[in-house]
Amino acid sequence: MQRLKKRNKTRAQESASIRILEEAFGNRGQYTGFSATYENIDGCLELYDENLTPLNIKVFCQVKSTENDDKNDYPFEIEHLNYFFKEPTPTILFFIKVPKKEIYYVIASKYYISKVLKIDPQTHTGGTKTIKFTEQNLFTGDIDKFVADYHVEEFELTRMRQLEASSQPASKNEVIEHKKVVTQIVATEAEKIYEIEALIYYYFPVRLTDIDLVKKIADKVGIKGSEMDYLLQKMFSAGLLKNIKNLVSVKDPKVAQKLLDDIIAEKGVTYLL
Amino acid sequence: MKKEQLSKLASLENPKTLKFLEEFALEEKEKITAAKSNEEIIQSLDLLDAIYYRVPAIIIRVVYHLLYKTEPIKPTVERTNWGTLEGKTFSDVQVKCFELVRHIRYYEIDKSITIAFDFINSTDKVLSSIASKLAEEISEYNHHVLPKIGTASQRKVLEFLEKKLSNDKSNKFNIYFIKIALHHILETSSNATTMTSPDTLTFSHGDIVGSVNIAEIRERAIKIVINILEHVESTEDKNSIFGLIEQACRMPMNSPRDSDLGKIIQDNRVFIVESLRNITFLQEKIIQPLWFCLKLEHLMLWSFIHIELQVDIGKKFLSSLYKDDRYKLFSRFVYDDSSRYIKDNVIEGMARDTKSDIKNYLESIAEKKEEIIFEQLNDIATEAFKVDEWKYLVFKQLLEEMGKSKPEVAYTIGQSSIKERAYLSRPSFLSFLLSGIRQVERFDLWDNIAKNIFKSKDIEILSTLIGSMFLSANAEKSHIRKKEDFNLIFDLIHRKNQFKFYGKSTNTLRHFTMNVLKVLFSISPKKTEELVILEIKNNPEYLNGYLQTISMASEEGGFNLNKWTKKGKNFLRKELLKLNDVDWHIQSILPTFCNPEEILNFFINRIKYREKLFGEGRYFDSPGRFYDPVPYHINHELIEFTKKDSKIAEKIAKRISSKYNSHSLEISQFIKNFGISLEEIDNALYKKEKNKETALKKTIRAIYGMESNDIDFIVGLAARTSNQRIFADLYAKIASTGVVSGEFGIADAYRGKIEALEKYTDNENKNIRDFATFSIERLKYSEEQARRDAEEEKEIRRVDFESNN
Repeated sequence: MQRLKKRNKTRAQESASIRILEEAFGNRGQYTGFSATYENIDGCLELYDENLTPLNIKVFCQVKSTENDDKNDYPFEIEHLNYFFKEPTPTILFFIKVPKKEIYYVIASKYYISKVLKIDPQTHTGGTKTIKFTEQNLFTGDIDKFVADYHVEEFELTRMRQLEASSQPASKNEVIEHKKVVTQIVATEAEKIYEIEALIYYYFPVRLTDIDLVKKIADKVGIKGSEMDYLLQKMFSAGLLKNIKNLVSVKDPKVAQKLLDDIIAEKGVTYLL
Repeated sequence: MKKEQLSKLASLENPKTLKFLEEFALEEKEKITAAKSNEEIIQSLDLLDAIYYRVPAIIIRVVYHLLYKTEPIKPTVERTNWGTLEGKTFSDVQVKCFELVRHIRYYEIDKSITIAFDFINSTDKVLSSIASKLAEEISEYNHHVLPKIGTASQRKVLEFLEKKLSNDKSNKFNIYFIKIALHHILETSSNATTMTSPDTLTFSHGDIVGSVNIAEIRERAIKIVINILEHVESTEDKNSIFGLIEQACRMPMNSPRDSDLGKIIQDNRVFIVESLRNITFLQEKIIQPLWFCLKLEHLMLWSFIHIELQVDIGKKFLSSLYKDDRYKLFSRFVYDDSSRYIKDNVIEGMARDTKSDIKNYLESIAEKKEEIIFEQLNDIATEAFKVDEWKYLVFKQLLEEMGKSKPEVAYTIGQSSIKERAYLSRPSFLSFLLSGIRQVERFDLWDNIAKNIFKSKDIEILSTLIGSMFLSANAEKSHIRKKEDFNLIFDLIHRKNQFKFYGKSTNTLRHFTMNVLKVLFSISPKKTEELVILEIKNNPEYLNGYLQTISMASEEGGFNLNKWTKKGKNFLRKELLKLNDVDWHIQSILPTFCNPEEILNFFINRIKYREKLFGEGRYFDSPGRFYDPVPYHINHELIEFTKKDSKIAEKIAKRISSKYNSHSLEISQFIKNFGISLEEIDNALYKKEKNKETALKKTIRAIYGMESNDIDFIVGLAARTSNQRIFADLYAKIASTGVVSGEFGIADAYRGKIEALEKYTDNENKNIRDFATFSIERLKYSEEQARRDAEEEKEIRRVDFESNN
């Protein structure tokens, strides 16, 4: 990790807070302080299991402390948080109330920095971000829970799963705009048109020469063949559908995907079967 | 449900769909468990693949069940009129399982690593290769994945390996897995490909960012490598793992030396050299094999001194290596000479000088006992096959020089190595020692050694004897004794007298024998020709190798085929028929003993020979090696030589049939590949055939492919007929597009042909007008179809791309 020059700070308070941290983790956590020259990272904590076997987890930490037991927040440097964001694994931000010997922590992962703190490293470069510490952030002495929280792989893999599953769906505004266009064309049949769009997207590639498939779509929408032809013509002329000879496709697949999602949410998957 | 529709459902977010997909996956899991055929399993796996990121836990259970717990299901067999057809194999099922694991590798990372580890050494090559791909994909730094999960994947692999190594004390490492995984973990760059539009694939490449995490990961990986290097027993494995050390020392390509990444690697290099020192020396004496030290020397020379980075570390290590007398001697005669590229920073012992090193050693042997000399030389020879053979070049020179300047000593060393079956007695060494003895014409010593070799009845040691004849004759032809050496080779090939105890020749012995025959041929061609023929007859399975040697020797003037007897030439032509492929070298010898007509006959005979093989049901000699009567690539000199015969077109015309079959196809390929003029063939056929329509049909059969500039020729043929069936045949030649490029490539090719034909639509010849109209109509229809297909394909790609991005 790139390190930033350390500024002056109360040495006594710092050593007291490190002592509290070391005591809390006991022989299940080996704290190693880094050179006092650097400010963005204070040290690392190596964790052990019950049998004192290394867990191969090294936690990089920034340790902040206060003498005021009523203080529940701390202003962290955005510059530092940006550095943590660039790191492949999260850094732990400890906040220690020295008189009460209470330890609070947050896991400053990419997700936490960008989604919870809403910091965009591209645009936020200076100032501070105040992080509030609540009961949920209190270190209870349960080291296994701490390890589970920090379990980098599982933690971050969960994020990955969520990111892949929702690969940038259409925004609400895009769908609202689309629906405005449709209602301007055929106000009374708008719902049917949404359904046709969703189903053409679902069954794509759809060819007009595939009479069975076109009829299947019409049946699901609950319309007859002639009405289907009429609506298709309307949709073509409004630019909602495109065609290459007999191949029909939706103009905006993302919106059609969202329409399908809404229809299934209402009618269930059996609607398609 | 179709795969495409399932994949659309998987992209939706509503809970009803997600619940449905889970239930669907469980149903497919049940179907797989109850399946009776591999087809059913693959079909279900294919459907699960469409929704992999929604149900990774179910998929991994299915895959585990199939890979570890399922008894292989035999392929279904169907008897048809064309023979027995087999369905999907269980290996196909396993391959499909791996495809799924590759997709869910980040979701089920622990189990994915285990699967890759367990199957990477599979005897099934396809499985092994796909498991290695999986190991690679889990361990590599992927540009897209790094921002999402960081180095979690690499850390998991390290955790897995550390656990394996600490649990297994047998020192039996899964080297293949370790090598692939650590190779990627020790990489300094990350790559990724992204579809940035439906038609654009963007490749990203760059160095990873040096961070505390990367430092920790590299350190852990290097510790594993050092641990294995210290304990692994097999030379091959040790050699293979050493590559990881070289990689770990390599500086990043695109980052400065003082970047965070550069500093991490410099720290790694210090650690590596210290660790290597610990495992290489014990109280300043080398405890590693000499070949390993040679690799260490190369590492220090190139990765430290040559790139002028941490030079002192490299120099210090090298000094320690050169202090060891055994290595010092070894390194004088076995090396890759890389030190000569290093101008500065030279240290004592680093530079080599072939002549003086050999001279010094030969001078020093006067003071040494012959046993010591034998031990020293054999010690060096023992490391062979662990070091690339070309690095032994100077050592071989030393042996040859010893034979020449100290033949008596060389004789004793030679006798000892034969007696003890020492490494020094291998053909690649002893041949040089014996060649030196021959070069100073100490045939008395050579004959004595030969007697001992015959007594040994060891065919490998016998090769050294024949090899020395070849090597000495190579140095100077006069080193071959006309009578004694000819008799010896005669007896060898006939397996007479002292050779009657030897079995089949080895590759080395065959190679040496043919090369000695090459020299003997220049002394006594007729007698040697008989020996060559017998040698080939004795080992028909190595025909290709023999012919290659004859071909190359003939080019160098060694086997002048012109001097062969008629019987010998016929023998060669007959043998050449049996070759699957007449390659470039063999083509080059044909003009040396065949006239153009004989060359034509030779290829016609090959076509007939293929028909005979087909008749016997022998399509392939071995998988993928089919008999190709007329090669695609023809030697330019052979083409020019064949064309010297002004009547070659007429001679080919006689061979052309009006029927469409493999025979006429091969002849048309001969015409095309030899560049014989179709016009000349057409003229010859027109003159020869009474029935002009038959002549036309035969000309059409002579056309193999179709180039756009041949359209005029085809249209010219159409002028001679109004027969619609012949029009269709001619149209087929025009419609063939050959290789095209671009998404509208086929459509554009048709368009080009239409434009080329349009000028004929108002031709004064009615047949030509009719044929042009006939062809244009069909080409327009084909063009329209091809353009529509391409546009549809493009639209499908757009919808697919926009849905997924």
